[in-house]
Amino acid sequence: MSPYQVPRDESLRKYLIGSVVVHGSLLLFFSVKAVFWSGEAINLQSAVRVDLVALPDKISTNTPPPGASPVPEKEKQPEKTQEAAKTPVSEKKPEPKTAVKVPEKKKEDDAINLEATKNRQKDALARLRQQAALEEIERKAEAEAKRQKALEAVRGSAQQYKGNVLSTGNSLTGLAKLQAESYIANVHSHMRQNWSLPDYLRRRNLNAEIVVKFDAQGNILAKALVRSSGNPTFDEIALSAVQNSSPVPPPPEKFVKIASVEGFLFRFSE
Amino acid sequence: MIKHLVFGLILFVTTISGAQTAGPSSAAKVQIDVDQAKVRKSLIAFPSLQFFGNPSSSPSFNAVGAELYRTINNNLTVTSFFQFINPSAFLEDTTKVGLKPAPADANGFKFDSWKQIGAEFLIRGGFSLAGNDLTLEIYVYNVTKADLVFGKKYRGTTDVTRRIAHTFSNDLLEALTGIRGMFLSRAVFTSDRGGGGYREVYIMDWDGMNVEKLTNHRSVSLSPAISPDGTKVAYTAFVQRARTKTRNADLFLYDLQTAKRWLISYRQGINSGAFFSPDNEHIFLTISQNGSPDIYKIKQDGSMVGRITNGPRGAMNVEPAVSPDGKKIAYSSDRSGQPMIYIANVDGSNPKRVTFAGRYNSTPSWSPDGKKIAFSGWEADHFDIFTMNADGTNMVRITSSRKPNGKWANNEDSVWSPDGRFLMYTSNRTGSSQIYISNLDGSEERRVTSDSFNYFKPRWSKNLD
Repeated sequence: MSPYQVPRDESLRKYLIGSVVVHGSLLLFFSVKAVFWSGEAINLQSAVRVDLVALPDKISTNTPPPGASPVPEKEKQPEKTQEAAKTPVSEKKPEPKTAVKVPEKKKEDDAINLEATKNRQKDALARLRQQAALEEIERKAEAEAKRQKALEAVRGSAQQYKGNVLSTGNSLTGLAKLQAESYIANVHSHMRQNWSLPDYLRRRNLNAEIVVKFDAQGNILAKALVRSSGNPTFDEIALSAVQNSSPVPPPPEKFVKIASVEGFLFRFSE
Repeated sequence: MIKHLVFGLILFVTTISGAQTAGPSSAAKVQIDVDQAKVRKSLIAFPSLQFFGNPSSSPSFNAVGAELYRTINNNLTVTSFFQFINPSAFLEDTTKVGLKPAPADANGFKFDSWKQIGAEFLIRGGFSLAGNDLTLEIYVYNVTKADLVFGKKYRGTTDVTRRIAHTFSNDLLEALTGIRGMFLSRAVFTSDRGGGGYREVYIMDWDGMNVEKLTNHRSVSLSPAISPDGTKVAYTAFVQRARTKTRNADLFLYDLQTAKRWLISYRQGINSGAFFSPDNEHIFLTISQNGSPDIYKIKQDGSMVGRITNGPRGAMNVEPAVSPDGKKIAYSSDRSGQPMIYIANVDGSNPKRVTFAGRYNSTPSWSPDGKKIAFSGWEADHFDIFTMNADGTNMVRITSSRKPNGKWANNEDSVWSPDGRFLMYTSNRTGSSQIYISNLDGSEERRVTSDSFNYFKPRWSKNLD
């Protein structure tokens, strides 16, 4: 008698058959699943592993160097006018009226003033106007481009969601989820473009929450401060950041209802 | 049995795939965090100060006005909060209108003429002189809201002109942010500016003005510290002992009001790196009498209270810095091989290493709110200033600069401003070790001293009102 029990040939065969059956059925199951229920594409995202063994690099910021001139410099003038002249043509946008209107009005008021003062004022005004006009044009052109794209996207399937329409919820999966995430990221970065704080309000741990509702084209329908930061200036700046962000990127179909009925909650912080 | 096994397997597989399709469900509302705000400066208009009075009876008015204006202007520039609008863009002749806005004041200024040039804030001020007495009347307006931020009258003699300007600047920051500025603070340091190769202890205003020499040992002085109440300075000097004719690094205490000094710690070896406890009672310092340097706590009269660090044999524990709440102590220690920053309870118990990055981290300094620590870190071939949370997370590099010859400059010995908005440190980027200040993201560094001497180990006082 051997001290160890060795399985007989009979049982070995039994286990072998069992193994073949199990593996075969698994193979069959996955083949059938792969053929008939094709899964959604797997989104591969690159992962970055960072080991912090070294001291960090200095972060460069947008803040101008200490010596920078606080007022738009004169040398930049011609460049700017060129840009200003170019942009309207390509975008078929008329020059904003304000650029011409105000200096005229000034003329009447300051009829008594000296020539020099007048010139100086006009100069300063023109400079400021020019910059404002340029910014306005750029902003509008950008917004217009986005709008056109949005219009094309929703054309034909444009639906109006108003009133107390029940939301189907937003528990999204697979591709829809990825789409939603990328849309939210879009809105996030869009909003951040307009989110700037004066330096003196920093490092005070202020944050405010604003609910924003917008339509299928991304036009802001309503905004409401739902939680104040406790600092009126901060709240105002956050609200104007929302206002300046209109229109936001047009929501994908699944988001239209949520956007126009519930709205998105934006939490503004430093 | 096989059937069961197969069934079990299939069940198991379906459970997995089922779990995959179920997916996470999110809250009803879409929430988006909009953070990382872009930082912008606020446009401020600061027309020159008006002089109310007879120019012929007070001929010095120009100098006084210029000093007031220059000091306020520099203070507000340093905050990095503001961008000054070039006076050539002003639409209003400020010499012809009053300091107050128009509807209320018949000859007042118009908010509109400041709104049009984009100003967010406007400072309107005027001063008068009666003999040596100076009165500054000054108002700060929020142009966007057409509202007064604050206005005040300051009185004093002309020799405190800078003090008046600094007090106003402090008040302005407090009105705007709730936190007072640091413009009435001073800094102690050692320097060879006296010549002869000696390093003596000096004190100056934070902006580099009013430098005063405190010591005249004709020796090398090290690591000065100023007491929280701003009345005393502790420092170390290699002074020759009368009896033995040897030099030892002894600790002195200097009274700024009486200009008297006492020798308070003269144990064999080094007695240096003094740091006053926040309650002003004790001094923490490094003493090496037992071989390797360790941190001790003494009273202001020099009597020993106790030993704080009891590091492993041969390890040094130096550069104590007590947290503003008086509960923790940060120091540098090489117990792990390279000097790194450790934090322990103030009695020395429960030491924890907080820096692991780089090769050499030293001179920890607590922010006034106790949340952050600044230190000097050495990586490859030079020191730079870093800040981090007190637990070692969120490390930020403040400095990175090169010398004229293209080599990396050393930035060392950082200390926080009393309002927690700035760091002061030394840098040899010009070739000599000079004092600089920076804001907390390192985006605006400013040179405070501007000569070719060397400056070391600045320590920033509280506001000395």
